[in-house]
This record gives sequence, structure tokens and C-alpha cells, in this order.
Amino acid sequence: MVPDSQMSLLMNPRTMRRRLLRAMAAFFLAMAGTLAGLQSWANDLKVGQPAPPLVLQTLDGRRIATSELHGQVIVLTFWATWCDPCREELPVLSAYAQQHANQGLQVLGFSLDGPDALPQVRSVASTLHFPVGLLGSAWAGGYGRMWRLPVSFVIDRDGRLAYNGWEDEDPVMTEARLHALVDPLLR
Amino acid sequence: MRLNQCRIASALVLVVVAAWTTVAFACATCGCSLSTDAAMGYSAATGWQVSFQFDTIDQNQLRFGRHSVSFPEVAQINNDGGSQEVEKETNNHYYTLGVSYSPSADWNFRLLVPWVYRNHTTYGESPNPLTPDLISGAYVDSLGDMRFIAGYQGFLPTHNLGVQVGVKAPTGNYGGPNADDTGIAGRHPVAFTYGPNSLNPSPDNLLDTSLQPGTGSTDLVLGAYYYQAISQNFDAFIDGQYQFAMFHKLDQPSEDFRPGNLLNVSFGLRYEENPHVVPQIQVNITHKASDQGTLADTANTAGTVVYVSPGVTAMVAANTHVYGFVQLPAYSNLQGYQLFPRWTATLGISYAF
Repeated sequence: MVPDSQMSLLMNPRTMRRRLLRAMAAFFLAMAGTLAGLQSWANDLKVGQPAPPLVLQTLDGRRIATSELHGQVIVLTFWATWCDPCREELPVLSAYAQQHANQGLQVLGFSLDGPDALPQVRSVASTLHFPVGLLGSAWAGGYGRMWRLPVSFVIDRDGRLAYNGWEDEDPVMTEARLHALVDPLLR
Repeated sequence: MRLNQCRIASALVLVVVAAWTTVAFACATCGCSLSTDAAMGYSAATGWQVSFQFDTIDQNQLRFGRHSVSFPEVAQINNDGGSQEVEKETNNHYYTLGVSYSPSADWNFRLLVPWVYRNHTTYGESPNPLTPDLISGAYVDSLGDMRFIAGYQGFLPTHNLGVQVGVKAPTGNYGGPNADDTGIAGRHPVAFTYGPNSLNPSPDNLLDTSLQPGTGSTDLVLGAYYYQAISQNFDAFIDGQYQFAMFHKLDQPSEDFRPGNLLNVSFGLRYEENPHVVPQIQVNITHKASDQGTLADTANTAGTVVYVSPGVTAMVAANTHVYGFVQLPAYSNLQGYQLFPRWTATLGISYAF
């Protein structure tokens, strides 16, 4: 026979289990509610609509916000030192940025490298004619999660998204593509 | 053909969360197979992290092979002249403190310190009818076997391929009757505290060796993992761990116990639309070999189990994440008669600094 003193102990796990179930249910409901209330991220990106704001913290300590570049054409490019296609694209972007700087073109480079790769990032950045900084996270606000590289976005002089890199099956920027995509915006 | 893009995963850049490991406890093929590595996201962040995890596993269903069996069905074996223990319930709560340090994005070192609370009841080898006065019970409430795991994920610049090597140390109490059944082998094994078994003279009043808080063995843990972004919002992952006893303290003739080798493989998806709330689903496959030795219940400790485990991880404050998972058995093929849970649950919190 189970002693009464032990029986009360036996009840504890069941009571605890009921409480745990309630806690788990509350936890999942809270998470589901949070999820349902979240703003959408990259799925909301639409060409022709206002471009989400983004801030570049440059390697030399400057803060460049897209919202403060109104009237300029902005190219946001996301890259990493270990990404070979990115490394081929960056010089093309750099040359294009240099050629069209006086037409109001601003290229901002966001590296997805971690802080441990900062020396390599600085080395690459020193060869580029546009500012570079570490993104610091895989998520770039309204541009969503940077899940493949390279990817770029173009914002027109009115602050509207003119090119959405997520919609492009072949996202690597070439000189020809830059001319086709960005030249019309610079006129 | 040269790829024109590189796929990455969110953990690449400073997702400050844990790189735990599958936690396996000293129980039969019952669960404990959630990949908390994946639950929290593999981390390339440097620095320290402390974490606390609660697991509950209530083994209240007897199963044989792929089917559930009733207690009277098992007791009938004893009515028919057989000798089969009719276990009633094993309710396990595990509280695990984790401390990890990552000196670089490539390396991680983690110490896991579990506290085991276990409430086990059994009818012993009783025949039908099974009545409450036949129930014997034992409580475990003590330190379990600690684990130290080293991880390396420097093979790829994205740090999404890693290997783990670790040791499970015999820090939890363990043991059973000695060879001539006149004393105790091991270290402070728990005894039944009520019911018929508790009335037996020592050492016949001891709880089964496999239900003690520790196994008395030093196990090697080998693991590997890989994860990859597969779309804008989804990561896929797979990880596996193999654990086997290298040394066991209960190694004398007629008082030996070696826990069965354990293989865990998990794979699943993480929904990464928002970095602050990451729902995910895992499939956890566990195969456990039979415990070995005179003190082992060799016939009733092996099996293969598959769980489907939905859960969510959320950032609740700076550098602080919580996660919760439920494991639901989808398949089980158990050797012998084993108590098995209808579900298990895991709650955890971690803080990085």
C-alpha cells in the first residue's frame, strides 16, 4: 500500500504536468500571437513602392541612412569575402559607382562577414569606390533575410524600389545589367 | 559549372544563441532526443553563454514492439508462469544548466550539468489482478551525468558544417546489487521507498540500475551537423550524435552494467522570416542498443523511436532567447516491454554575453 505521505508526493508530478501543459499552451499561444502580429519582411518588397529604410554603419565609423539620400539613386549590395561571385561583382560595381558618382549615384556595400573577418573585409573595401560596413545580422530590415549572395537592390531618386534582387534568378551584377537597370534612373 | 550565388544560413552572422547538443539521459528508449542545437540555432558568435533547460518525459504507457500493451496483458505473463516486471510509470524531469564558451567562430566548448528528478513506480513481477498495494515506488532527485562537448565548425567560411566530440562523465549516482547479492556495487544507488520492493532487505530493495541518475560509465560522444538556407525564410538542418561507453565502473563479473550505444539523428526546418521568433519542426530518430551486463535489463532496453517535434525559439530581450518544444512519437519499435511517453516537452532559456 502506498503511504499517504508518499501518495501526496505521487500527485505532484501530475499537478506539475497540468501546470506545465498550461504553461506550454500559453507559451505557444503567445508565440503564435507574436508571429501573427509581425510585420512582413522581404515578402512586402515591391518594385515601385517606397523602399524600406536601411542604415550602413561604415568601417570608418560613418552612419549612412538611405532615408537621408533622397534625390539620389541608391544601389544596396550585399556580399561576403568568401562569396566568389560577390568578389567578381564588386569591382564592376565599384567602377560603375566611380563613373556615375557625379550623377547622384550612391552604392552602399553591406558585408555579411562576421567580426572575425574584419581584416579581410577592410582589405576588400580598400579597393572599392563606395562605402562598406558589416551588416551585423543576416536580416536587413524590410529587405528580409540575406539567404543567398550576392543580392542587390536599387532605389530611385524618389525613394521607390526600382529593382528587387530577390526576384532575379541571376542576381550577379554585370556592367551590361547595371547600364540597363541603373542608367535610366540616372537621367 | 560555377555557382553564381552563395547560399548562407542565418546563424552565420551573430545569431547569439546556443549550440547545445542532443541531451540523452539514463533512461530506456524513451525520448530525450530533441536537437537543441537546432532548436536554438547553431552559433558562430564568440563569448560566453549560460542556459537552462527543462525537459519532462512521462513514461506512462507500456509498449512492446510497435504496439501499446495494457498492464494486465503484461501481468498475464506472470499468471502463465513467466517472469516479467510490470512497470507502471517513470516520470522524468531534467533540469540542465549549460555553460559554453566560444573563443572564436570556429570553436565552442560546452558543459552540461543535469539534475535528475525521477519518480518510478512498478508492480514488480506481479500476476493479475494488479492492485494498488502491489505498487512500489522510488524517487531520484540528484545530479546526473555531466557532459562536456567540444565543437568545431571552421571547415566552411559560413560555419554551417560542424563536428562535435565530447565526454559524458559518471558524475551521477549509479549502481545495483553486488555480485553475491550481499551488498551494493556502485555509488549511492537509489532504493525503493515504498511498496513491496522497499520491504526487501538491501540490496534487493534497489531501483533498477538503468533508472539510477547516472550510468557509471564514461561515454564518448561524436556528432556532426550541417544546416543551409533553402529559401528566403527557411533553413534546413541535419545533425547526428553517436554515444557509446568507453569505460564503465560497474565492470566486475556479475555486477557489471554498460549502457547501450545510442544514435540520434535529427533533421528539420526552421522558419526564419523574423529573427525574433523562429518556429521550427524537427524529426528526431533515436536508436538505442540494449544495455549490457548482469545488472542490465537486456531484454527491455533497446529500440528505435521517431519523434515529430514542433517548437519555437524567441528572442525575449537582448541576447536572451527562450524556446519550447513538444515531442510527439510518430513511430516506435521497442525491444521487450518498455514504458514510453505519449509526449515530451522541453523549455529552455539562454543568455549570451
